[in-house]
Amino acid sequence: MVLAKINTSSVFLVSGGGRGITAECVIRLAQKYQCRWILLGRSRIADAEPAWAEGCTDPADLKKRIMQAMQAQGEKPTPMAVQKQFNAITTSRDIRKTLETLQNIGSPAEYVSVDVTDLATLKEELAPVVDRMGAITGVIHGAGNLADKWIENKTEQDFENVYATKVQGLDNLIHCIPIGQLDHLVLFSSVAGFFGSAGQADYAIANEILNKSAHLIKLHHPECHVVSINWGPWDSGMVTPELKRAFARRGIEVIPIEVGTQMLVNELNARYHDQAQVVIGSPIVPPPADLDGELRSYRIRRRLTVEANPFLRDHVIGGNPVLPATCAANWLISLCTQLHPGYLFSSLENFKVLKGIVFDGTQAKEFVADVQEVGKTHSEEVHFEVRLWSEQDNGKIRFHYSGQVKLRQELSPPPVHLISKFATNSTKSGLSYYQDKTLFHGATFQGIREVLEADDRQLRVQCYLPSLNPRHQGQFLADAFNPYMADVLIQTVLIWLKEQHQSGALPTEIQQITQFKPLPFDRPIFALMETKVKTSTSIIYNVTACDEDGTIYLHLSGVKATISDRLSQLFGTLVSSHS
Amino acid sequence: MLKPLPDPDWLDVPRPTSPVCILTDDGSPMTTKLADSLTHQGWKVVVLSFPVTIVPRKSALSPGVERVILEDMSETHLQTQLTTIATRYGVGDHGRGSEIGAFIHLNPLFSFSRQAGLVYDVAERAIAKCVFLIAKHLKPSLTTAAQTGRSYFLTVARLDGVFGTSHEVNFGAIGAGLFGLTKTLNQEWTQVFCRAIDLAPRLDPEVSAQCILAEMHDPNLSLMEVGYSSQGRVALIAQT
Ligand SMILES: NC(=O)c1ccc[n+]([C@@H]2O[C@H](COP(=O)([O-])OP(=O)(O)OC[C@H]3O[C@@H](n4cnc5c(N)ncnc54)[C@H](OP(=O)(O)O)[C@@H]3O)[C@@H](O)[C@H]2O)c1
Repeated sequence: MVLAKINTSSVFLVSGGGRGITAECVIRLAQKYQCRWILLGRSRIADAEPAWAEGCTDPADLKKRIMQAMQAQGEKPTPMAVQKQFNAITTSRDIRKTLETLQNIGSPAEYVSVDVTDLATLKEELAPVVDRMGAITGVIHGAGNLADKWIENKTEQDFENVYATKVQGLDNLIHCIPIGQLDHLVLFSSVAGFFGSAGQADYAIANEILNKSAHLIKLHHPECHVVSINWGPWDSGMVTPELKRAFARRGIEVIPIEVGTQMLVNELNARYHDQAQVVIGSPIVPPPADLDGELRSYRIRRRLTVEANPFLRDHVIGGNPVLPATCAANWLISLCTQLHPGYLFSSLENFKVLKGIVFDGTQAKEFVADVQEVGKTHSEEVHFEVRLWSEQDNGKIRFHYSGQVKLRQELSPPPVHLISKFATNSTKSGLSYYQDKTLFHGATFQGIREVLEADDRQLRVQCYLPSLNPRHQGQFLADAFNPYMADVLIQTVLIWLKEQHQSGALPTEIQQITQFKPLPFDRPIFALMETKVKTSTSIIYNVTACDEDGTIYLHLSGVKATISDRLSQLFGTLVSSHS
Repeated sequence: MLKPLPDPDWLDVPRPTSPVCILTDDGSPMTTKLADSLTHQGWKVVVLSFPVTIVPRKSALSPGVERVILEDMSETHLQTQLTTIATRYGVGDHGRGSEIGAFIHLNPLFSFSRQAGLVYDVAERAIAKCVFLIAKHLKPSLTTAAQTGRSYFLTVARLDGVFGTSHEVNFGAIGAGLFGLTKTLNQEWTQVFCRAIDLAPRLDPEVSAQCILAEMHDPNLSLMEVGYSSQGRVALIAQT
């Protein structure tokens, strides 16, 4: 397949190309390719402006002059009538400016005043222009209208207006120009379609149809470079200055014109020929719902199998897969974050492993989490008490894990700790500890890459895990809290104990997990493990994890682990059973 | 980009105090199966059938499942029928006229031959607008019902089970609009459980009904759309 390149004889038909962001994109493409343009819009271009309007650009002044002209003609200058004339003049100016700019660039262009939803007229109007410009090689469908209202206030007409321009418009365009003849087909869609958008139900419907249309066109015409671009809000066009200020307050970034137009140019690069749908820019999502005062309780069930959680095969002790404590923590945490979208995991306190889950064939099929909201403060913070249990065959309840989760709307800025700066030259490979079974963990959890320093109080390591396929993560997705990297931090104690000639250990309790940012995959993380209390049967330690810049992601404090020779043996049985 | 998802956890949803569930009729056994499962869960299921010009067949219904028919696709007639449902079936145990607690739209299967190319089907367009109008008129019921339990607005489309990204199935393009609608309502009606589901056309009706039921019990409120196909359960996310 020879991928078509845009050149000076390419002819683009652009709906909505006379003004707005689509016109900006046209100009940028013209600068790059000097191709030919047929621009469509319903507005007419006035041949000449009335003398009183000429040269008047200040909106207030222009409106005043419109009013005066109307009065002079004996008409009543209602605000609506004035606005209508004002729009006609400015629209006409915008389109003329687009055409002039294209002419200066040396890109031939014609504007056709036609409604894309009117197939017969569209056909009729296009024929002579195509005769003059040449066969159309690309279509950009940028025409769009809004009717922003809550769903209960929408009318059938709103639906028709918004829907027809986008969907009927596309249908009509490809009726006039067979897709088979097109090298490029670009649909201007919106993040409103991809994420939904309050007040824009009809618009979201129409844009989602454009998105999936692009996929279908790819199915029928794999040779055509078709893409539906889900634009975030631009610093122009439909986004008014008031809206822009509102966005800024909510941290939504608008796309500067130079950036957006360049993104379109890039998108048309043959490299992206097979990408039918892209999202460019910020979603317009509402802030998290305000918390009401009511404290709710939830009972949530989960069925667990090793098959559905492939990572378990890399966490086998004494021949049986064991759920890592950090995965249990992830379980408690993600139940809470799922109930409060937009809130972030901040801390888990008093996390206790009461009875770990061992997959030895006798484990329960179903586990039950009782999630109880115990506090909500200033609509900023939610606290939960979570207990996880299962019912045994004899009907008795067995508690497995418990802890208190805190979610916040915003996390405190991460403190900085330059662990990496302490790195010495005398490093030792972390992998050797997995090989000699000091660490019993399989590939999924083999994240300690380098032991930077070890003494009788602490240990410094460099960690790294490549990203894990979500299917491999099973029911314990590293979204709100990364249990795989957190497990790597927990493992540090085993190396320290080994260096101190001690037995193996497993965590039974974590006083507090504080998260500033979720621990990442694919990125080196430096961890400092510090012992706090050590007896012959247990150890209490802290772990701090930061990146190479010293930004702290996670702090574990008061991790308590039980030390026993038996554990070392169990870790060891793995060696014998495998060798 | 598709993101694989595990099976959802199961939230014990308290028995709705507004147990009327309106289910649109896709003309297939899926409606029958889902109506039965919902009835079993304690819902009073009312199946809303489209005019024969829009959906030629009507699904068979078990005893106890009610049917209300739309004779035409006008907004006024729709309003009349929604009021009929609320007054005829929406009387709660305590004698007070209770609200409708759930709406589930099963989009009929619109599947075309490859030769047909990109199809914007008129019947599917009429259905999309109708669901939009149903949302408009059910807003008071669903948002009120949400105050006493979980109320639902679900749409089930039959694209390819992977949000149209397979490039293998020539599904009706307009069904895609349901995702835009449901994701928007999810933002407008924060208390109502809104979810858009895409089921691969080949999934069997029994499995489909189970998937829908599982989604209704998912505790995860941050997920807005989900697909089921031979690739398993997936979400669509923007690549960064
Ligand atoms: N601006 C943004 O931030 C943003 C974000 C996401 C997506 N988008 C999409 O990008 C496109 C352009 O947005 P914009 O902000 O530049 O909008 P705009 O300034 O309102 O321009 C819309 C254009 O569409 C034309 N149009 C509307 N209905 C038409 C019809 N029935 N037939 C022919 N032309 C029609 C308009 O011309 P006439 O009025 O003369 O017909 C105008 O040129 C839209 O499709 C929009 O959905 C924009």
